Amino acid sequence: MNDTNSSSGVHTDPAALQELSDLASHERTEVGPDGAVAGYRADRTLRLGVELKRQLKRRRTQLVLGFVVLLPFILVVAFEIGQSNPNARSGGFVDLATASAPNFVVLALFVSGTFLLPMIVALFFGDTVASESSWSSLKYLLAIPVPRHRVLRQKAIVSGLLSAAALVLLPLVSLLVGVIWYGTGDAISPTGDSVTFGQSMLALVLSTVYIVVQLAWVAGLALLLSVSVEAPLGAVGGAVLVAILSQILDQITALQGLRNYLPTHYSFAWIDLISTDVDWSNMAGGVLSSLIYSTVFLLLAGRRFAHKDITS
Amino acid sequence: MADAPAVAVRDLRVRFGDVEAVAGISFAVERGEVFGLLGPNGAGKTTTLRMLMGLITPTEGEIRVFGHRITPGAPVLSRIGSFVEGSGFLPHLSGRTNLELYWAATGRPAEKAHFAEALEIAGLGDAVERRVKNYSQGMRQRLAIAQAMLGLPELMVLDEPTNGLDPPQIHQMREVLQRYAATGRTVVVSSHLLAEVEQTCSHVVVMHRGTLVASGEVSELAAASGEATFRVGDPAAAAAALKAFDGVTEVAVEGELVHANLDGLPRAEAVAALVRAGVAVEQAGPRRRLEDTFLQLVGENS
Repeated sequence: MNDTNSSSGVHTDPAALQELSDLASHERTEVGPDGAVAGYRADRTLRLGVELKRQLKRRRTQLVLGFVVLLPFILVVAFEIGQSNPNARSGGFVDLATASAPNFVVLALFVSGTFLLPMIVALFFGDTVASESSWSSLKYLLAIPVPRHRVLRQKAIVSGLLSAAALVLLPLVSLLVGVIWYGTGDAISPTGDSVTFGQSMLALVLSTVYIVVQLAWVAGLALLLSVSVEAPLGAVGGAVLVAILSQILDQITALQGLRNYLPTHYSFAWIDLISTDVDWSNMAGGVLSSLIYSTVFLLLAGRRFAHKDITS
Repeated sequence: MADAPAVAVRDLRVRFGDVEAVAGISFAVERGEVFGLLGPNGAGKTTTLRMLMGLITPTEGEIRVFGHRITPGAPVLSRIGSFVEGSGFLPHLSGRTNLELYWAATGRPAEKAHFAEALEIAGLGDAVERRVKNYSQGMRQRLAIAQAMLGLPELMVLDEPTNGLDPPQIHQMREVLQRYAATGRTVVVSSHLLAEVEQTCSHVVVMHRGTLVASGEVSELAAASGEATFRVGDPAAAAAALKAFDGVTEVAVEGELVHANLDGLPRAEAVAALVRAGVAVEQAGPRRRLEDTFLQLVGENS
């Protein structure tokens, strides 16, 4: 008999209920000494592959990764439309962009360094826990139970992988595009230094590594905001706002030495690498500052999340 | 611990700022029960269930499940399937993908999930392949209950499981829960509807403003044996007439109602005696304590 609610098409077949109750009657539940059901192990919950799959299926992940691939092409088109002087041996990085492939990569990193790159990191880290709160799925993850420190760790690692992927894709695609359009010439710095194509590759790899490390402070802050607010926009926007504020304050020369403590102060220190005689002091300052900021933020995030009442 | 109750709540108390959401409650749920947590909205039911899931840490007291104390992330939580305060799905994924990813996150073997059976209980048909963001509330609800059933947990905790379902679906849900408990597993449901609990549950506690006001077997509470209620024209005369019987105790007047414990005296005889005493009897029936208690609470709140 199936006379119930055929109009909506949503109903339980009485046979299905019989099946379930037969199955449940026969299946005995094995239990471990810690009270867990057999087969449950805390260190098997929310594995990286699973979390990566959950994030990669999201439109925002696909859009961000797609955008960093598209950006170099947009830049090329912009230079093609505008008037460029490909043989320029002087001027800023923007003027030198079309001189060679390495210069084009430097330009791509330079124009996205202020806003785009911090925003990408803020998006992946700020959204990761807050979006689960906003979907109410966080409580079900925690009730599996995925231990809280593990939720945070796995999510931070996956956000880190996705951020790094975006931060590597941008120079990589820029290089390919640059080689095709502008050739494998020397990298020219605004100060007139000329670095061979081969050496510039090493400089670009180091620049990318530096940028990834330098943005760790954004990652830490965004994660802290992500466990503190339930709206993803609040966490992502908050971290981006702090980055912008820090850059604004960095323009106030009256602050003098205090500016060295701003987390964005050393954002562009990687430019020192495009030189025949590399000065490492700014990059060392940038790495140290970012590691200190990110460690503090990550510890605060972990502490906050471990004791938080989950009410969403 | 093999014979520990499914759930043992002891002196549970939680304070949010100045508000005491749960003010010292104790109860036990035995295995195989369909246990109801009944109370008006804001009574502290959901907060209690959240503590049961380790999402909120109690200010005082403790909850033990199968003898193991609940803390955030306690391993024993792996034996609980839950649905508390709304479903939690990734809106951009289909119902099926949601359940598969949820189970993948548990790290337990896929063959223990029993997806097919759980999805059949949800009865969503082809809609399981559609994105959850296009689901109606009732569909999400059913998918969430299917999620709670994955792995056939020994304890299923469901918060207002029939909200958003239509009457035939509610009827089915009741049967699902009762059949599930009949396999020796335990079901805890919360509800603000008395009829719901009366028809679904074997045991119940009634919560109000963070405290327990009644508890016991539903059949006992619903119609306490031997107790009767009469709606009469002259309550005072009726009370006097009932007190005249040997063995009749606990005679109490409440408006135009008279309650009494008849202790074996047939209700028909009591009615006849009242009529002989010149009291007009409008209604006579078993005393419905659960309803009394509950209506008082709800009346007070509304």
